[in-house]
Amino acid sequence: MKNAPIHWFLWLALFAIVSCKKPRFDKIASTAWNPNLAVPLAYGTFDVYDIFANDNPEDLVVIDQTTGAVALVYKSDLTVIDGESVVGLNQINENFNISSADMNLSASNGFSGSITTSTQKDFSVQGTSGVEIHTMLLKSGQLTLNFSTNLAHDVTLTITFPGITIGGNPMQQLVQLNYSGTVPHVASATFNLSDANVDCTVGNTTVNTLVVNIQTNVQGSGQSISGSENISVSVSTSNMAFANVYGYFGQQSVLNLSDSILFNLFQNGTGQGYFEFTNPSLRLIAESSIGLPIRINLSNLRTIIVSSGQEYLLTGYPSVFDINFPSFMGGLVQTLIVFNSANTSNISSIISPVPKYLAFGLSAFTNPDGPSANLNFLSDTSKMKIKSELELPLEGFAYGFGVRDTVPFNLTQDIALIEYVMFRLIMDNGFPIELGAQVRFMDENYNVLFSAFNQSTTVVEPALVNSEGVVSQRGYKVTDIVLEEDELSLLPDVKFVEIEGNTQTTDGPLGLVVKFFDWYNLKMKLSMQIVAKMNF
Amino acid sequence: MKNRIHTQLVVLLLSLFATQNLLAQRNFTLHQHQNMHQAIHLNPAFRPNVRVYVNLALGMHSFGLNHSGFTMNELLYKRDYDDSLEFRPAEAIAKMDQTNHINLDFQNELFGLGIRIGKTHFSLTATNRTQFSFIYPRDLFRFVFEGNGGSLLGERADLDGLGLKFNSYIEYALGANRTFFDDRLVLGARFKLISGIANVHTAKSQLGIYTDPQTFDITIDGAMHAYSSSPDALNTLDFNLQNIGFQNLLNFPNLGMGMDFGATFKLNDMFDFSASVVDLGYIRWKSNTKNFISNDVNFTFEGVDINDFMADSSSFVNNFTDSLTGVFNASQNNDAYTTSLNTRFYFGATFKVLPVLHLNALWFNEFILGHYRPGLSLGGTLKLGEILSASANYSIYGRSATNVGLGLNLRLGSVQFFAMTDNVLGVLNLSGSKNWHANFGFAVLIGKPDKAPENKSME
Repeated sequence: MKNAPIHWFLWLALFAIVSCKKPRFDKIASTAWNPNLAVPLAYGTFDVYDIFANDNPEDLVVIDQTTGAVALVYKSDLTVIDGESVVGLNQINENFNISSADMNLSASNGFSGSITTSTQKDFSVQGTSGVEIHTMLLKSGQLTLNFSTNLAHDVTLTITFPGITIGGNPMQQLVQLNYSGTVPHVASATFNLSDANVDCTVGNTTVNTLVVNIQTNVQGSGQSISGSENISVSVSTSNMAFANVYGYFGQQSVLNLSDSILFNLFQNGTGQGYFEFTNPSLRLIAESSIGLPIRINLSNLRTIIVSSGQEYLLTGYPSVFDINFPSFMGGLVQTLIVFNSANTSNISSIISPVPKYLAFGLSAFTNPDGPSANLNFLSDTSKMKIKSELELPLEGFAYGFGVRDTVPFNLTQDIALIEYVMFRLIMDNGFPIELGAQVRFMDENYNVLFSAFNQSTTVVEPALVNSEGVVSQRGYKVTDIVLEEDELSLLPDVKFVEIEGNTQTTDGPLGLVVKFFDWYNLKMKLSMQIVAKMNF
Repeated sequence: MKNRIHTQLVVLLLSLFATQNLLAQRNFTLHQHQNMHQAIHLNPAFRPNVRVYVNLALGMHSFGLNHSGFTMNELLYKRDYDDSLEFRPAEAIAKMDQTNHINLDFQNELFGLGIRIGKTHFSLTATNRTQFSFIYPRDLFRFVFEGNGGSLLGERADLDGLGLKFNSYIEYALGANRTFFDDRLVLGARFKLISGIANVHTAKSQLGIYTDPQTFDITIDGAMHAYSSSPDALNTLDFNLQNIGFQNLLNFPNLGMGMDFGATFKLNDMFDFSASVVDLGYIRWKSNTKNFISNDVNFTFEGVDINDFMADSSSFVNNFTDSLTGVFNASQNNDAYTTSLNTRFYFGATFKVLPVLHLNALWFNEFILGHYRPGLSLGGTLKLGEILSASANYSIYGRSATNVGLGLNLRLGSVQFFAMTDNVLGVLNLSGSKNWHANFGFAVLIGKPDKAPENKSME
């Protein structure tokens, strides 16, 4: 009985523990945790440079510093005419003889005296395409004279080129033909033509001609002279090239090509829609350091829609232009040729049908009016470059202009934990442009599985403009793209996403002219709301 | 037979308290037993009805746990059609207050000595005190379970006050009380010398997360000042006895002082009143301090800046990390700091219905980290001779109105045993309660119980 309290204690303690209402964690049924998360993803502010000049850094957004007006300028280097393509230099390769008579030698059974005579010979220096070379400065070349004679005597030759000077002195050299018992005996002379000034006019009497004076001194060896001996001379050049050249380069066709300018603005265009720049202009800028008149002929200027091949010809424009040329060696002059609404009939309208290229034919002729009092000239570095600039002042209207792109899509993440996703796009738009969009999610056969919107939806509300076409009120639009469980379950099958955009300027279909200025910008904000579905 | 019933009742309560789930800290039930030595921890004017009290390590052990936010049943809902539990955080959130507490309190009287000399009662105690409070705002749960895109969208998730306070210290208390005016008034006080062992607390905690309802931009604002003082063991993870902090019992590396004041007043033979303020004091923490002071943060995350990303995608992550580091910057120091004790106020009244039956009312007040936490208790105490006194009460505290306390004090010769709880429902319905509490102890009592005051009042 003494142990009774202990027994009570044990019994009651057990009762208390067992009877406690404790949480049965093993009884927790499967349940879901659905946190709803809202996070900002990205934001940015885009100005005219970001929007219109992002694809190609060569494209230039031009701001009028006074008004802030924006123009797009698409630049392209069309062609280059090198000076060496206008004037080429043929290598010299001529032969002539100096006869016994030229050397004042008569038949003799034994000649022991000494007779000195001079002989002058001309040979031609020919350029390509019949150009007339008056003078030139050579930057390289080698002139070689080879002599061979059947005279059984020693001969000393003094060779002088009065038309070729180096450092102001005519080029001259002594050559010794020594008789050693056999004939013919030979000798040669080599001249380095680097930095040689060459006058091909022979004292302004002709062109393309060089003169060589050869003084011969025959020292008799006692052998006979039959009177038929001579000295055979061959003249040749190698690697002869000019640094500059003066002359008359003739009437040559130096260019005949077709080219085109890419309009990046329309690169992904669907070929649909209409837009009109109120005052576009095409500028051709010729820069020439070639010292001769060149006339270019511009033909078949047109715009081309690549997708359809449809062409729109520019009409009413002047087609022949004379390119200014420098008045001195090393000079550089520009010639500006402008096509705009003032000198064409339809430049605004041919830009309008969303072309991708501006195409044209271009030919060029030298000395279109024949020789003149002033010599043509050029150097080995002379060029005539023709650059084009298509300037599109952002002033006009557009509508129905579409872009479409399809991008591969492959979802590798497990989205089983996602119940709902909402992408929120907030566009605070300072441009007078409206953008509607549709996003289609397609399988590998391009079948549309689902779309972001029931129909194309405006995602960028256009800014409103005043009577001057200047933005007076920004456009603001919040667009939610909701993917619920049905769409999310299809995402693993999505292999392509087609993004289609349709844009127009503010009231573009009504022809309302809007203007773009450098203070316009577009503020974009992308956020996401996601409801997770975590079962445990 | 009477003794047998008493014994069984004692064992029943003991077994209930022995379950480790019974915890609490306010000791409403102990407050009804004003003639116990242990009650001087609640009011230094309480007078034990014994000449000498001696406790060697077992005198009083009080454990308490309170969660003011929600009960387990409110989080795990029992379905009607089967006995499965359904996880319903929304229900729990709906039950929460804006600011909620989880409080854990241990109080162990390691040594106790009480001597009554004439009209003066002297006491000397050494008590281990450990208090832990975690304060969390309702919006923390809303943020975690609902996310920021639900009901918090467009609303600041108010996480201000999120923080904790952990205090561990030894208090050495020397107390005395004395009767005045023909024993109708008792004034008492206890002076405490405190040796701090460890402390962690957030002196400033402000945190808000606002999600813009349209852009979903997330703005974080706030500041945090956190202080800590810990034994070497926590710093070095070397838990030998020296590092754990037992040397702090006597060498006072973190010195503190405190006071308890109390009074009781016998209005007449029917009504007694009591009032006390306990744990009025501070601890100066100097040992192994590490303090973190963040700067004031107001940062809005708007997403990835596309312009920056396009300009330099390679260094974008580093730049973003650098900017975040600059925003969420905190300085660290090892300065000494001071914390106050968890000061409590008790205001009690006793209505003596019968000599053996007293009715009690108690108003409890406490401040933790600037948060006021009141409590109210109504109870009755049954005195069965000098051997047994039993009590029961109903309390409202910790945002819970379902607290029933039971207490029993048994004196068998020179041995005292008591066991009490402020909420017996906590053990009977563990998952449906917010408060758990147990308080028990053994002590040696020398001298016969002092019956004179009781006889006077009864007469």
